[in-house]
Amino acid sequence: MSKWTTIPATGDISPYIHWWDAFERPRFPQGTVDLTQAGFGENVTRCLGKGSGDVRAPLPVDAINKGYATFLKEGGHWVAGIEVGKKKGQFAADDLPPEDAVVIGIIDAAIALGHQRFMFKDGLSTRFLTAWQMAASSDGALPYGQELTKPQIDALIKEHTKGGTLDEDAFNAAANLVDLINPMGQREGNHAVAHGSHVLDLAAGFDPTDANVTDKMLKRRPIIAVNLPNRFAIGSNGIFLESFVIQAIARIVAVSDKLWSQRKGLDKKARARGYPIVINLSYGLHAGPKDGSMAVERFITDLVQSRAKDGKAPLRVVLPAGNENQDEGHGVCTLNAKTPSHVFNWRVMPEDQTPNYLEIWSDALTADTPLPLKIKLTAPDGTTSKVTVGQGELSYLDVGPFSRIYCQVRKGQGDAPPRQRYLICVAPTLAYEPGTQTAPSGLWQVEVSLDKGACPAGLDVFAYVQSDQSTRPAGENGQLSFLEHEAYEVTDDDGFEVDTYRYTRDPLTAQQADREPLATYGPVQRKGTLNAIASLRDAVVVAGHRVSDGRPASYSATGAGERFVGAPGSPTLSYPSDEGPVHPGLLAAGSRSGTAVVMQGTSFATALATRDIADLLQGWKPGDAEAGTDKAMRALAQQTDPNDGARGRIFPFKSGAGRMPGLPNQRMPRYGQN
Amino acid sequence: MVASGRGQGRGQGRGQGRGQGRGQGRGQGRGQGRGQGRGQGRGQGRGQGRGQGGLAGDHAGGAASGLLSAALTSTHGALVSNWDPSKTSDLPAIINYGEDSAELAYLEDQNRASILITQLVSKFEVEGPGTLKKKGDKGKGKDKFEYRAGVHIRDGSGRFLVGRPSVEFLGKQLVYLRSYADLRDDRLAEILEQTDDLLSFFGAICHLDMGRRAHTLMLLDVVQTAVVQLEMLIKHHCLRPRPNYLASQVQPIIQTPDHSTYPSGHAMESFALATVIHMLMTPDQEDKKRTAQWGIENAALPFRLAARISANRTIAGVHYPVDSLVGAQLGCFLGQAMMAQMGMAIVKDGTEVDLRTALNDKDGSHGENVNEYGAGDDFLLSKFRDYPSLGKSLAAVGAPKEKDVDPILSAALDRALDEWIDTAWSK
Repeated sequence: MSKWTTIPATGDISPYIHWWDAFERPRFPQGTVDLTQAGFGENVTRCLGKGSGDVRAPLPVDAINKGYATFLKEGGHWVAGIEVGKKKGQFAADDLPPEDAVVIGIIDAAIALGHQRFMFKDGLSTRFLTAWQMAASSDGALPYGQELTKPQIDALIKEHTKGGTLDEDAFNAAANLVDLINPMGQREGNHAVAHGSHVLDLAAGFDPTDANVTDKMLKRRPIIAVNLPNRFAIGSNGIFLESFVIQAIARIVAVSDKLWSQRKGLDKKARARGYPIVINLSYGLHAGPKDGSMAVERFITDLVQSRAKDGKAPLRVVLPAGNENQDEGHGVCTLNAKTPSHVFNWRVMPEDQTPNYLEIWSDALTADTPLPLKIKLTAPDGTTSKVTVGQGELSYLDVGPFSRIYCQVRKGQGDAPPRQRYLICVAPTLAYEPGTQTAPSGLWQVEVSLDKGACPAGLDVFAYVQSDQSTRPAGENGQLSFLEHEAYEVTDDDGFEVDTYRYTRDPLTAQQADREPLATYGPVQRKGTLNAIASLRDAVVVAGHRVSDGRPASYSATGAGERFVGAPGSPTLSYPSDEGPVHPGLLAAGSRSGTAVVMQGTSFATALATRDIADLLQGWKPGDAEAGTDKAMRALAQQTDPNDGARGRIFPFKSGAGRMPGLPNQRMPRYGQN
Repeated sequence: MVASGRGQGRGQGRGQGRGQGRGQGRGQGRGQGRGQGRGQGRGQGRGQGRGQGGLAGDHAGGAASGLLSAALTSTHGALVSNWDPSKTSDLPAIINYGEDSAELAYLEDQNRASILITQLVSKFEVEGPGTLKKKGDKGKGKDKFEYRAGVHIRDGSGRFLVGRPSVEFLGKQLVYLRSYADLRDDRLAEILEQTDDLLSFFGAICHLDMGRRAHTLMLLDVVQTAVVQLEMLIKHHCLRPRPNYLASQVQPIIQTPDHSTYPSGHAMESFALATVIHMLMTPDQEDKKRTAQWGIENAALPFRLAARISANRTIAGVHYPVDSLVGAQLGCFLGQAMMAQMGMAIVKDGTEVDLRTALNDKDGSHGENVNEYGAGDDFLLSKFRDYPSLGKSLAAVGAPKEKDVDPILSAALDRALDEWIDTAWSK
């Protein structure tokens, strides 16, 4: 109870996965196997060949390709099957996008492959080049899941179109988009509202019946889709997301490059160029280092930079700022000789069927003081640890039977500095399965203190509540925990919702407009809630605002400024995510053709940015390294919206360099709009 | 014209008076005991049921009304006019009472229910609030009131005594009122529905309707109402303040009931219903697997639901977790005891459970003595099954000591049990 257990250093082991093995795996459906990063092409091997222990994931046995290891051993390559040819599933020469096309990559859930808005004008042939359903039963071609090519999707559409109408229920089942058999299977595609379809419609959807939309235009926006696995595979805390996203990005790039190389009449040099690719990744995590060192961030950085270096067509990745601004999930404090300790009050919800996690990070360290932070955890029932510090590179301490503290020396990764991390894992507060450990709900106290003599100049400490979602297909039983402090304001004295800043027409500086100055506002801060996989220069990070008056969306997360080299600490720019105070969200495709639904969040602002960046890359010429980069988009936003205060002043930590316009109303008018 | 006018006037007056009197009387009579919300809900539910189907109406073909009584008056006048009562009736005597006193089929639902409730409640006696112990023999010490509340089965086949938490103990539990309140948005629909309707939620777990499960519904309604009657007196003897008396900040989202917070009536009723339904749902299982103890230890669905209904009351701001903990145990006890009194005794030997010293408000948690429930403890199904007192409380019901089980009650149970053998679905 009072002793730390050291975990031998065998690569970059994630404490989350160590906990998951001990506490979560036994509760998961039978028949899962672990996935490592082997066999996903040279990009993954180059960037994550070593230290891939941080990114592995469980998958149902059915989804795994058992013959894949043999296939690789015999010299197989994972894009070997992507070819122009006459065999089943192979492409016709005419299916290949034209030279001036920009490929839209979408990594999401419930992307409706039979949706009209992703079709050509005939209403029978799709613009998807390939679509990988990660949790579908293996088709024997990829390491896991099933990939459909355009010819296969077209055949399914034809098969299930009767009397001019596609039977979308039957199509979705046949394409393995919806899994009604596995109790934990993916079902979002059968909901009226589907995240992936909505995002993709904003990013690349067109109305094929519109006279202004031509097949030539549609040919220039082909789509490569990856439907992520069901929620239980991603984990209630989202920790397996990174693994799947890395493989999804690698796949989109590999397929796009392979199809380019299949075009006729290219010399050897031209064959290597590839199509420009814009990947929309409307996902995120709440907690993490936020210094650019997450595996997925390192992977994106490596891939974007190596493509630029090799003179290939650009890859752009577009990420959301996140919607966690008002979730009270981030705390910060400064420890020094005068105030050597601080207590974070962490409220864990009752009746929560998923575990809760809190990450505590030190600021950048030097190699000679690897473990300056001590910790003490007290559960609501009084169970407590001593004031203690971990040992070695990775160690853990059990506090009662229901909680565990991991202590990790996080070595510097790329530009990111070495840091110390504590991860606190708490069992669910409600469980029905006999034998499942539960933890008390209520106020958990996390005291962090500075070891005597360590960091004489003081040390900043950050706390982040990790994402928390139900693992069931439509479950809402993942209750998000939060940090509590009396100085944190949800609403002001007039009852208005408090945001990070005051948005006034007066020329206030960011400092003057700041609603949460650290000294008086306290440790629980909106600044620092930015998506944990979006702290990198080589991606475009999108905040949200509303069209009607330009006011930033209160939920749109805020960065904390540039603290680490290479991690901008703010969104790139802002796109609309709401239409107005009484028209929250944006209107776009529902899961079925002919339906439109409203969804709200920075995911959808991200999709609008994807659309614009693809337009900017249209007609890309070799040598143009800047189009659609974070830097270029910041400059564009500044030009578009000079931020002179006429529409209410905005601030970079929250909204990036400026606000961009959304899509014209005519595209899909709301009631009363023309 | 004169005759017709008179007939209408009389008919309307009488018809209305009777119709209203019955409908409201029943609804309020039950309702008042439990709180207004629930009373009204019941009254309406029954009233509609009766009015809709012709066969279920107060009259042979429909609901009572002034118009119908006026019509019957004019029909009577037309068909019979003057008749001589001394002449022999042409109708046979159809009720031959005495051969089978358990036969209640001749009665409408609500009247059958009244008999069954009275009969079932009569098997129990509520104890409380305790006795005043005078000074010791040697004149030392003070007079001391020895608190005791609980319920026993009159034939001696089981007894359940509870202590009551101090106000200080309840004060310590406000920490849960604070944290559970964060779930209000999530649970609003459930909380509102469950103010007066628990059976619909159980009816989602197993088919319950007025068709093939009519006798089961009757049984469950009788059990719930009998539990309510016993629970009100137990609550009266315990009389503990609701959460909003200890902290204004609780601000419950439903009306706080006037009766004692402890033990929770919703927990007693829902766990009693879960116990009975679990037994009905498991006709082919060995006895051990039909007990409430097994159901709770294995988180059988009716018990998960009962725990959620109980927790929803804490979320609403009208109960402490300890109310649900003790209410749940009492509910399981009463559920099994009632089934035993109706002729289905799963546990053979009855004992006595005494939880009077089980509540410990000295420190937050139940620490070393696992039998103790501390003020810092939450009410969770998974924790609940950790208390050995649970096993004891559920084993506390024995078979009835009387030679024969009450024939009226056992006939009602038999009819309900018949509904769980679904021959209609045989292969």
